[in-house]
Amino acid sequence: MDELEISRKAIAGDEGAFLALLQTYKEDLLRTALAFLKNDQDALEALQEVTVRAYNKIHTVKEPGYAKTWLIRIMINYCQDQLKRQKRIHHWKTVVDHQGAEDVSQIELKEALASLPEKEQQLIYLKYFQDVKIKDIAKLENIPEGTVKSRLHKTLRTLRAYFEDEGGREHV
Amino acid sequence: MYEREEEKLRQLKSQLEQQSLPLDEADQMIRSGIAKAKADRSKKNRRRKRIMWSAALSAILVLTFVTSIRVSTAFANTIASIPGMEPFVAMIQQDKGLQAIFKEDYYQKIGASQTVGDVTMTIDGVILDETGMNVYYTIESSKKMKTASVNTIEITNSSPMPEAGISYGGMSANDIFSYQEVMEITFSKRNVFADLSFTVEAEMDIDSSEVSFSIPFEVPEQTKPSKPYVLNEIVELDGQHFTVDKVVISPLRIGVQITFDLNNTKKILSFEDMRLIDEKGEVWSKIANGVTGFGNEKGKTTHTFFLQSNYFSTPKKLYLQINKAQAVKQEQAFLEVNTDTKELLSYPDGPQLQLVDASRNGIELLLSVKDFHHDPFTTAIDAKGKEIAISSFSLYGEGDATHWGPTFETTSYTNPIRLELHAYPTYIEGDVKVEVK
Repeated sequence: MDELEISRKAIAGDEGAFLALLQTYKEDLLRTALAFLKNDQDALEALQEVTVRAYNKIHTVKEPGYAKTWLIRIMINYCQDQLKRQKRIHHWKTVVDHQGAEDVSQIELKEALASLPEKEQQLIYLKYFQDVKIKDIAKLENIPEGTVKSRLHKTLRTLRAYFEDEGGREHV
Repeated sequence: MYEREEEKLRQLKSQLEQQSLPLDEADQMIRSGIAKAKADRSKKNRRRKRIMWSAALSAILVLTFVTSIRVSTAFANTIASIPGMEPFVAMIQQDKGLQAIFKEDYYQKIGASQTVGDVTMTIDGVILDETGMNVYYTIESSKKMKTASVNTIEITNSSPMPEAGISYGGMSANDIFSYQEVMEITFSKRNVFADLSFTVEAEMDIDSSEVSFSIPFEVPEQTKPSKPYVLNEIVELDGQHFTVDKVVISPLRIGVQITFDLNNTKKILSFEDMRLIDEKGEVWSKIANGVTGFGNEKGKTTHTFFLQSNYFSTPKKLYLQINKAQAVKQEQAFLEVNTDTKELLSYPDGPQLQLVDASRNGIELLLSVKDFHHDPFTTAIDAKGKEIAISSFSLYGEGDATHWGPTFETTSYTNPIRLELHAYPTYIEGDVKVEVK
């Protein structure tokens, strides 16, 4: 079965195909989780939760070709929700306890993404980390390609300011 | 224009791609995610579970909505290999007795079905013992079912069915081709059927039509006998006395029969941590969901409380232990409300209870205790002694408080009304330990 066929069957409600679909994209999903979240444990938990959400909603996917991007977006949304929740929890707690070891090499990416509004995090991630075409993003978001392009430019501009600022600090 | 930024992003991407991934555990998480999704689905249905009572029988009910259950993969796989059982994984995992029943193969597969038009009902299997019967069934349709719900469901035998509490799922389908449900029958007295042929009679509302099924089936094996331990031991908890009459161990549940002393100053509503402990320290605690006991019969002080079963284990020693109970002063074991003047006239000492709203149709109360997941009352009595049935009850957390909302079956009654309490968050504590064997 090729990926399209798996997607088609999964959307139609075939549970075996749904399992195969998640297995096909598990690497992309875990990598996405790790772009946002702290460690492997959090990423695995995210994968379980994304499986739950996808299982409940898979029948709403219209284009089998978009199943992968659809899953990635669920993952990004989940991660963003988690980050917001953690912020709230930290807000309440005076002492923040560190759970699990954070992968230091990914901190830069997480901080860069965190400097963006949520919608733009998703846009940048889909375009540059999952190589989703502008035309497909436009279709998924149901907006003209031109709008996607101008949003991308705006986001890159924000990132430029961020990287420069960061670079500046490094040189001090 | 943004070459540098794009280059930087590419760098970050390749860093991310070099990171090792926990792939070994990934498949497990996907499988447990699927099991959890199915369990959630059946839990949503269970939230609307309806409970019927035959005759004047009343039961102690606890509504527990466990918000998140982390399903163990190995266990999910065992249960998922039995047809029709996936939605029950979480429920079974909450109950050690049910877990043991599946491990010991005490679940009996049936597979009897009937097709009416597009819809097929299949009795997947049953668990039968002297204390009750769980009937697991599947409703399947060749067309997507937008809504499907049980209108009536009952089970018959050549001899009359014993007095029982029956709980079954409410609304179940939501744009799907098939779903699984369970009907749980809890007998008020131990019962052995001479004839193991049963018939399920069900009336389902599927989309806009009514579909009736009548499915005869045979349970292959006779029930395993319950193990009764007669104790008759009088004990004391914080000055309140009661007799542990007996402990009866059956596969589906353990019944602990208690008789309260009429002279107690406080009315014990339920035991928080009643449990059995064996010589190795293994614990069997209360049934977490659904029917948790029988009692509350007017004028009677004998109650039966259910614990998760250890029928299939063989401990050398077994103790019944209790350290905490819900209790209110005898003379305060009720709420009194006037639904016309919207006044809460009386409630027990302890946490704040507020009448938020009232009408002849029902009342809304706010209890200043977080997450108190108990159903506090089953009926109301009006000023003339007439019984008012509570037709529905809502319970949810609201910040640090718990919201209770009973609605009444009728608006023709005389104020004020009294709601007898079966649960309340005021406690007594002590140390009760009785040797069972």
